[in-house]
Amino acid sequence: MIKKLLKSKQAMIGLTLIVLVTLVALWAPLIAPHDPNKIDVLNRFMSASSQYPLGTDQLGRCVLSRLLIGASYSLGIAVPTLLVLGIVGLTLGTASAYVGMRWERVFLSICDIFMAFPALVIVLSLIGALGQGLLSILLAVAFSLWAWFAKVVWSYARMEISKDYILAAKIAGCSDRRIILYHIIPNIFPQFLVYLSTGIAGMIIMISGFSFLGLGFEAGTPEWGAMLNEARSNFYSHPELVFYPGLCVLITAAGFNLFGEALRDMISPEEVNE
Amino acid sequence: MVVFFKRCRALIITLFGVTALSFLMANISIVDPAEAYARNIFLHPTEEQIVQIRNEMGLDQPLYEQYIQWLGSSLRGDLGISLQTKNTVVSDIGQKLPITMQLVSLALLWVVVLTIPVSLVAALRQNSWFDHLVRVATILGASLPNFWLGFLVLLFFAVTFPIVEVVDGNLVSLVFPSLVLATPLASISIRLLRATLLSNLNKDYVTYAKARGLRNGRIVWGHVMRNSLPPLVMLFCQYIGHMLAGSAIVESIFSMQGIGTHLVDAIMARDLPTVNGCVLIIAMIFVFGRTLADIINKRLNPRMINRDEVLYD
Amino acid sequence: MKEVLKVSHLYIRLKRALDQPIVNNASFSLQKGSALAIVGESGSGKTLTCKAVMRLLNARQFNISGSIRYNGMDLLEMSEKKIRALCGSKIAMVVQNPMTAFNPTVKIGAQMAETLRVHQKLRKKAAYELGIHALERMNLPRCEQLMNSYPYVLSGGMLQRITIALALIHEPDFIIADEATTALDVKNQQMVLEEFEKMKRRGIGLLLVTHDFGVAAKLADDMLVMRRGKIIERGTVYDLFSAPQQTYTKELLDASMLRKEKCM
Repeated sequence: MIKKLLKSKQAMIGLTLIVLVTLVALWAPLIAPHDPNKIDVLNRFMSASSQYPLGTDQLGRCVLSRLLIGASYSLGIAVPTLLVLGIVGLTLGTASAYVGMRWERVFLSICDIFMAFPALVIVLSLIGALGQGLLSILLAVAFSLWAWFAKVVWSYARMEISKDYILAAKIAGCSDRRIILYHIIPNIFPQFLVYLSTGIAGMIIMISGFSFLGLGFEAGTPEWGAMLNEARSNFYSHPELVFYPGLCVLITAAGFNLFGEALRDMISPEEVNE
Repeated sequence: MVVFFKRCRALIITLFGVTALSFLMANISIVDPAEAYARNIFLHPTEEQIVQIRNEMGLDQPLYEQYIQWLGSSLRGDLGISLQTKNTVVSDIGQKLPITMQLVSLALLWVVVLTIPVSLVAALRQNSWFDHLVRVATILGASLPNFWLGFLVLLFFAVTFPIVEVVDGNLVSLVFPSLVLATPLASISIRLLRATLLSNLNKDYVTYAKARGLRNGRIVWGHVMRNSLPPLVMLFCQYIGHMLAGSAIVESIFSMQGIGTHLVDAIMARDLPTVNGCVLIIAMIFVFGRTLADIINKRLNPRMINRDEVLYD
Repeated sequence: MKEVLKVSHLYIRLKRALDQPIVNNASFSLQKGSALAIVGESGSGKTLTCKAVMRLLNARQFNISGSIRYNGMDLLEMSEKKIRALCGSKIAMVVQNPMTAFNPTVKIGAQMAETLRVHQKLRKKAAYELGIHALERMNLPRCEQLMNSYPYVLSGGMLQRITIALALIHEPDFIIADEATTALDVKNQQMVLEEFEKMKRRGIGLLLVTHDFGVAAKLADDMLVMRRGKIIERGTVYDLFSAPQQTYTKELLDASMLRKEKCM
């Protein structure tokens, strides 16, 4: 599996992008040439130079430094949220699929109710309730997406449970805990990983979309979506300020999507053969 | 008949939960709605004025009674009065929703027009250059941030080639926004349909259909398509609700006055009745979309009992 | 006796591995009203050979050379449209797994009717009636109801009888039966074998693919043994059973005898 993954060009391109962005996110304060928040009104809209490799923005801040720091915002929010969601989804999804009966039905209708609210709507409501801030965004994303994760895991687990080997394990006297931990979860994990990988891409786009609408971050935060939003008033005269942050979002999201899709091709061979 | 009854019951339970949740979300606010409303009327409301408004609006009663009252009046089509515009919420939504609906329907039309032929050709010519192109393009399309794409389109067409008036009010002006809105869904659905088509094309029934002498066109349109559509239908109908909300971004870029921007504005102004109303409408549309998908899929595939076979991923 | 199918020097190769043919220089012929059995273990190339005859192999994946002659025409050279017109009318197939052979979302009647209407000009109603007749001839019960059911509510035996009915409708010259009895229970196997016997008597050629020597012994006149894409032994059923030349054939025979004994 891992060998196959290493051979796939697509997976490797995706992985390279992911590693690259992660490294940037971790070391951004070290490699950024300037303080991303230093305002220098005299040097507004400077074009690229050796001092400012990508020029400066409407407040004279170094664009490159802000872009680099932006990586840590995007990944810093998306990755922990995703881990929490993954654990919640895995637990609730497999448990309800395994227990079945009434609990499963209750679980499914609760999921249905939560899934009826688009993420944006929940974010808006929660920001209305809790005020602007990172916490609102995090809560809102978790609140709106947990049902999707749990239900995806549920559908994978449901499929796995109906297979004969689970029955065989039951007959052989495996405990429920053992069946879930050693049989179901390892077998649905590859599919789940695909969902996580493409899910992280979606989440990064979503969060930057929120900050584009002015939700979640304080004004002036070097987050990609927020940068884009601030640059839009000078869009026609300085389109490059809109261009860069979007490109960063694209590259990051594409990294995760490429990797996830390559993985999907690998674990569903029936689509690839013949 | 039993199935119909069960479906109705499930629908009612879901709707009940959806309304309760949306009411709850709007009312756990740290901002006191009475105060917000009072500030709307008086510049500097006194304590008594706030209390009076609270009593008038029934905000002093326990939450569940407020909910029942709100549900009752919602059922009668009364969603309250917007604090911002002073119109009824229903009339505001009635004004903004059509714009967004136009946008979303056109976007959905693009998606259908693109998805079916593109994924069909890609699946039939698997591993051809076209197939590879489609795969790369859909991955890129799913990674493109909507707001960025919107600006690129604006820059490219409105600035470089100012042939079409991009920001206007007629149907032509909807072309670009709807294309931008359609891009992510189109990418996801092309990928999904291509995959289901491929797995269906490899099934025994296709081989036997060929052995029975059926022509390729008949096999594809009469058999393979029919079996491949259900996941796509589900994706579609579920996505409508998301698109209604997601159109906020596109509306904001192309300066349109739809329900998305309306909702964002309402949040910013803490206009609770409007937020409640919009959330309710969007969630309802989602729930009905899902039910519609169930019904269509039941027709396409009578064996499909489990409606949750595919979630969009 | 009239020859309905003549395969000569058939090679099938995977396009990505052209140097290793998966069917290697296969030649055989099938006479009217007789039955030819191809036996061999799984992966020996027997199914591929059959699929090649009906042109069911994906041309972008397989490279096929040699000739497959039917009534003086080379099936390999024919246009796809022409070959499809022959398939299902003059050349018919009985499938290995009847449970998955039909589209699960379309009623049996509609699938039968569409097959009939590809090969002859018929109104929908006439096609349905013809279909019902064909089912009745197979001694199937409540045929009208059957036409109105979805494939997944029927049993494997019933579905196999339907595929046989469908194969016989247009009086084919020969029928390819790829492991047609494998997925069935013993009673249904018996029934299918009897049908095949009747077909032979009606002058239809039978190309049987099986790994079951019992089936071959019961129906076939001639036999081929395939191994790793090559025909390693051929002869009449009597010869092969009484005096197999190749050790592989002997092994196969012994294995199937052993199984039979165990069963008893």
